[in-house]
Amino acid sequence: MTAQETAISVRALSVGFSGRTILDDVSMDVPRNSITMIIGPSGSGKTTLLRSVNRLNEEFAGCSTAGSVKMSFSGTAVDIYRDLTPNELRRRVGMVFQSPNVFPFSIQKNLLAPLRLVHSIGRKERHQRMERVLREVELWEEVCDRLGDNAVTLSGGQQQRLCLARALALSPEVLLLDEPTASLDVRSAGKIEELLTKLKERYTILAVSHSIRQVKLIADRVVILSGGAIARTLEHRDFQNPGLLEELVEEIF
Amino acid sequence: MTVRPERLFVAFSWLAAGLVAVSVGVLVAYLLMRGWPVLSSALLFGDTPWLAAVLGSEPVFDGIYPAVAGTFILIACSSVIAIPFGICCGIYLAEYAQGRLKAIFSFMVDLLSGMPSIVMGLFGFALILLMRRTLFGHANTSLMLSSACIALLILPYLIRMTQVALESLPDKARLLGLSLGYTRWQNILHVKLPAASTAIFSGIVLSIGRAAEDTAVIMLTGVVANAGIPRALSDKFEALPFTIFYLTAEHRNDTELQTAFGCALVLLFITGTLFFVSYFIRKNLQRSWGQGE
Ligand SMILES: Nc1ncnc2c1ncn2[C@@H]1O[C@H](COP(=O)(O)OP(=O)(O)OP(=O)(O)O)[C@@H](O)[C@H]1O
Ligand SMILES: [Mg+2]
Repeated sequence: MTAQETAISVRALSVGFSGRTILDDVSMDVPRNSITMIIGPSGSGKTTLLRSVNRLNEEFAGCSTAGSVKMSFSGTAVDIYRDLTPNELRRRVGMVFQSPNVFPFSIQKNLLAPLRLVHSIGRKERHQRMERVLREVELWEEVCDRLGDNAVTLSGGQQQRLCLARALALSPEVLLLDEPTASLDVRSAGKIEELLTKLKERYTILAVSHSIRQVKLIADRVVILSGGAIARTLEHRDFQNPGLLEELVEEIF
Repeated sequence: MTVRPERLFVAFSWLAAGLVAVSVGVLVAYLLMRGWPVLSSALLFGDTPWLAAVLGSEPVFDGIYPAVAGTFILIACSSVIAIPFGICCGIYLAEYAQGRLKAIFSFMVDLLSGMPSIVMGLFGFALILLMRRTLFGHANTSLMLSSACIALLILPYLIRMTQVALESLPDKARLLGLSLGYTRWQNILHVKLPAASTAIFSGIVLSIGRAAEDTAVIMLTGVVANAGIPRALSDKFEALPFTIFYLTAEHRNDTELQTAFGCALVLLFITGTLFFVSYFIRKNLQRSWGQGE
């Protein structure tokens, strides 16, 4: 295995809400153009860890963050808490929430409005991008004749794919995915997993997962979180040993 | 026999709802009974032809049309002042104000909303007295002053409704735009305000209703009987609630009292229509936010 460039490096990160420590001294590296997955029991701080990478935790009153998160954009490393505004950062880091989160607007407005507001992209290209990303997440066939319908009328799985499409349309460099296949059936989940392995050629992906099967299938690196601290970090070759990951999870959860 | 508390509670709730329905029913029925017979174009326009009255080419002496027009003008003027201020102030309190400043502003708004309307009227009246004694010798109570005082009266509704609507949005909705890279302002304008628009609109409707019915404020600040239709902001004016008040207070025969009931019915009809229209506007508002690009 070749030594990969690090896209995100988290050092001694601690996050607390109103004095309660949620993440405690977390350090980890996310290699570029690969899939890093976070697993851990409910409430172990997975979502909080993801949100610290696009500084969304700050939007809650009483949040305090210590430590550093560095990200390298086209070769140069920047401290995202010091050198960038949250807005500049979030334009480069796409996020899909744990539960489907669409605007209560039409399907097409969900995709077109962010393109207009964030990147000021012209009308024609907006529509081209919309079709491209909807095809990419295999939603196009299902919605092409009802783009004007409200997005909340879509099923949970369709909404989740729409959210992924929306994140992709904005062409970020890093994708944060919070259980992207949680509300999908096995078949659609399989499609998304396939898509993610394709996407890692273009993006650095940091995802939360709840499925050992999925981790084994597509992750290049896995981080096991427990009680706000990192219990183990495993590379692809480690967790391919049959039973190892299951054993660890059994032990830690 | 033991009565389960749930049964008792359900029975009481049912009774409470029923009582409200009966009260409203009786109220409206009585208003209709007394007011309906006098409802005619003569009630509105007296002997003046209605077209001439509406165009303003002939004055109306015996009808309540000037009061109807006055009420509409008063609502329009006070809304123009209060709505932009109220909504912007609400946005400021919900989105930008912090710490001690927010506490101070919130206290001021609470204070304002607790202010009885007669006090607001007194304030307007005192203001005119002060102006007369100082720089503006000709200052007088007028439509302008009434509108300003009414605006002050309805301001807290608008502020609070906007603020609460924005602050009670779920975290999901609050964070989504930001996660996509919207600026704070874009997130307010394109995500939060649309999501809060229904509630904000309800605040507007409520405050317009309040502006339509208030009597205490205008009595001290510019309303008079038989003023006719105001031609300028500095004119005196008539308004329906005040007309109802003085017709009732000074009626010499049953016909005049009857007219007051007619007035009340017209006022009820106007506010009812306002609520109805606002319902449709709100529907369309939601649809138009949702569509397009
Ligand atoms: N905004 C917040 N304010 C206060 N506490 C919070 C906030 N967000 C998260 N927490 C707390 O942080 C802890 C970790 O939450 P987090 O959402 O990161 O868990 P998670 O690992 O994603 O769990 P799940 O698998 O259930 O999604 C929880 O105890 C939660 O109560
Ligand atoms: Mg979570």
